[in-house]
This record gives sequence, C-alpha cells and structure tokens, in this order.
Amino acid sequence: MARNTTRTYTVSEVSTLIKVALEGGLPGRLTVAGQISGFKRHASGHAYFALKDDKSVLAAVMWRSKLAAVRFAPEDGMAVLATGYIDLYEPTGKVQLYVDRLEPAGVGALQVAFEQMVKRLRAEGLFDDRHKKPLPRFPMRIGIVTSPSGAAIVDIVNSIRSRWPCARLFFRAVPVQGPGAAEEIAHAVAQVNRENARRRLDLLIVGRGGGSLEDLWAFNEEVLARAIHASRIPIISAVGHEVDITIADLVADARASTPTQAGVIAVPDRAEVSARLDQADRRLRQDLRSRLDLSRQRLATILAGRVFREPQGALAVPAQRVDELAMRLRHAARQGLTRLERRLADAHQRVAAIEPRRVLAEQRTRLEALAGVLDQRERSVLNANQLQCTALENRLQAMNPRAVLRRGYSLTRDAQSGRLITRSRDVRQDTAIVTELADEDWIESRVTARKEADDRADR
Amino acid sequence: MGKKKPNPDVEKMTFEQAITALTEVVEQIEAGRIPLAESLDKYERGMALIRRCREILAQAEKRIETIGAEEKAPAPDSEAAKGEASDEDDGGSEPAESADEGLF
Repeated sequence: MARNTTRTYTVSEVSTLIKVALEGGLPGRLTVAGQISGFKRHASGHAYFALKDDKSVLAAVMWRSKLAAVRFAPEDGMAVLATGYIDLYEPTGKVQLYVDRLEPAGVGALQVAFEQMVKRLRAEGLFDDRHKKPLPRFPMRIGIVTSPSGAAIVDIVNSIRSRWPCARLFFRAVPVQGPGAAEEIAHAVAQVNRENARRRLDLLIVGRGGGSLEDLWAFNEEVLARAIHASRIPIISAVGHEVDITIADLVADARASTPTQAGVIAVPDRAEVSARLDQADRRLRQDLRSRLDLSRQRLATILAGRVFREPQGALAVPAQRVDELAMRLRHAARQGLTRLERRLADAHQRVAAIEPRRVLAEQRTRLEALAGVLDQRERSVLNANQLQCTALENRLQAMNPRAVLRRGYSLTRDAQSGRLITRSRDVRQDTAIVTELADEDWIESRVTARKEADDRADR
Repeated sequence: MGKKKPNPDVEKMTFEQAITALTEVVEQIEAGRIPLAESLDKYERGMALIRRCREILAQAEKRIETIGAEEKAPAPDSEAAKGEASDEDDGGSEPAESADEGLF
C-alpha cells in the first residue's frame, strides 16, 4: 500500500499498520534479557509485568498455562531471559512481549527455585531442630522408600545387612525422578505412616542415587518436604552424593550423604553391641563372686566364734548363774520371790536365746544357698566347714536335755496322735501308748490301769 | 532358698528394653547395696536379659518384605488378618504387618 501523507487514518487503521510493521520488522520469536518489574498475577492466573533495562521498558504478558512450567517464582528486580513473540494489543494500544518461556539470567531456574524454597520453608520452621525426632537406638523394623532399579536400594540393604542383620527390612518402591515423582514419594511416606499401627516400623530411609539437579528435583519439591515433616516415623534422607543437599535432606530427621552411609547411621554395629553384652556378662559374674567371697568370710568368722568352738564354755557361765540364782531363790523364798523369779526366767531366756542350734540351722541354710552358685573349689572349702558344723552339732547333741532319758526318765506318747502324755487323764483304758526311752528306744503298750493324783497347786 | 523364679517378662522384651534393663541390673549389683539373696535373683535376671539380647541379635531375616501401594478401601482383608495372626517375635515392636511377599 502506498504511503499517503494527505489521507486521514482511523485509529484502527494505524493499529493495523503498526501490527504489520511489527511482523515485518521483528523476528517471529525472540529472547529478551531484562529485569522484571511490576510483576502481578491476575485472578485469571495470567501474569502481567514489564521488562526493563537502563533505558527502556517493554510490557510483557505470560499466560497461566505457560507460567505453570516455570519452576521458580518470578520477582521484581530479577534478571531474566524471556522468550516469546512481540505483538500489538489493539484494545490498549500496547506493544507486548507474549512470553512462553521464562528463565533466570545467569544461574539456572532450578537453582533459583531451590534457594527460594529453602528460604521459605526455613522461615516456616520446617528445618528446625526441635522438629527432628531422635533415631531409634536399635531399630528392628526398617522401611526403605526408593527406586527398585538403581544402586541405592542395593547399597542400603547391603550396608544394613552387614552391620545389623537382625533387623527386618520393608521395601516400598517409588519413582525417584520424572513428573509426579515427588507426589508419589510423598504419598508413599504418608501411606507407610498410616499403616504403621500394623507394621510398626521403627525407621524409614528415603532416597536415591546420584544425578543432576534436574534428576534429584523431586527431593526438592514442597509436597515431599511436607510429607517428610509430617511423618511420625523417623526418616533418614539419603539423596545423591556427598555434595548434593536437597530440601528432603534439610527436613528429614537425619541426613546420610550416600545410600551406604544411610546404613551406617540407621543401625548399630552388631559386633560392638555383642561385645557390650560380653562385658555385662563378665561384670555380673565378677560382682557376684565378690559378694559371695564376702559372705563366705563372714560365715567363717561366725564358725570360728566362741559359740561353736566352745559351746559348753558359752553356756557355762549362764548355767552356773542359774544354779546360783536357784539357790538364792530357795533361801529367799519368802522375800521378793517375784523379783527373783523374774530374774531366773530372764537367765533362762538368755541361755535359750543363744540357741546355737537355730544359729547353726540358719547358717546352714545360707550355706546351702551359696553352695548352689559356687564352683567346685569353693565347694570343697564349704564341705570342710560343713564337716566342722556336723562335728559341733554332735557335741551339742551330747548336751541334749534328752540325755536325761538315760537316767531312767521316759517320754510317753499317745500311739495314735503322738501327743505327749503327762497326766493320767490324757489316756483311757486300753489306749495304745508309746514309751520313748534313751537313745530313741521305744516300747509300745496298752493302758491297763491308771490313777489320777490328788490336786496339787503347781503344774 | 526356694525354687528360682523365672523371668517371664524378659521373653517379651524388645532389644531396647532388654539392654536398658540389663544396664540397670549391672549397676545395681555393682553398687553393692542390695542383700545377698536379692543379688542372686538380680544376677539370674541379668543372665536372662543377656540371653534375650543375644537371641535377638542372632536373628537374620534373609528376605526383604515389600510394601504394596495402598489399596482403595481399608477393609479388613485376608492379608491383614493373616498378618495379625503371625505375631513374629523379632525383638521389635509387637504385632506383624500385612503378609508381604519377599523381594530379593
């Protein structure tokens, strides 16, 4: 169309001319480097902003559908590379860049996105230490969430099995990269938590082998970070290599630099624990032996004591005292009878209280208890002591009140009931009775006649 | 003394519980403040605890059990019931999981 300077143009005609001129004068698609300014998202989801350099401003639009692919959050001031086509929006007369791709200039989009995410989640407190749960000391049921292919699962399993084979392992396969992977892994973590009343896992290991930032991206996504944060089962994150840190690593209760390292963090070393058990075993035996030695010494001291060496000696004094008091009682029968009687009773009691037999029986019981746990050498020492006890017992026997039986006294018992008979009224005609004589001789007989004595004042 | 009391609670302990109890027993006996008869009982208990720990350590499950992706309805299926029944004693927390197949 020829240029006609004298003709009057309508606005629309001028707009159309400008459009055509733009189409002719600009590449159909171009990439513009500039700084974002005035970035706004409308309710529609579309974004309107401007790209600036030090001299000029270019209006820009990005439709919601294109924005979805942008991994980072565009911010005012950010230096970006915006790719798209230029056109005139006739209703406003604005020349705009219709952007279908947005990248941070310089550093990669993923890196920016990562840094933005870290900042945001850290501010929310998701990485705080107080949220981190302690790992179980001796886990017996461990869940592993990772890819079924790849080296990670093999490394984790081998690492655990070589150190702590007594743990049971449970595997939940997930994709670890690609679209939807983060959601899948998050879902798996949540599922395992839900099912844990039955399964009772102590610990989870979530991770994958090494790769690029793109490959590892699922472990930087917010949905997985929140799932890990919400997990009631402690989680060890094992993603990539030493140098790769992901959001999952920051949120998890512990981080392993590699899958193999996860096994080292997760479980103790069986050999070490076994050695601790050996040590406890030794300490118990040692301590008990010491206690027993101590008790044995105490027993020896008692056996060496006067009561056993010289029982008669121990009794001699009280015995003499009894005689003495009895004499005084006879002479002073009329005066202070009660007082002397009480003193006599007291002396009797003290003799009885020495009770060498009871002491002996007690010590013997203790001896038996100890003999059960001592070894042979110690047992022979005990045997010697036992012999000594027996010898002493025999000597005590000699002082037995039953010796009196040898002097002609006897004990009469009811043959049936065994009851000691002290009065005639304890038996009837023809009752069978047993008479116990010295040295445990006895005679059985029947009552043919009996006589009850006249009343007497004493017993 | 009378017959020894067994320690039935030890048989059900998890590894963590057993080791904790064992530490306590060793410390008590070493402190030496308990009477001899009681230290004999404690010694027996300590030995039972050590046996229990060794028993758990000696286990070695070769399989790895798989966890399937979630079923639609959380109905009491036969697998869950089977899982409850096989209450394997592995020194971990109590009841079993759904019957998963072995992987490798």
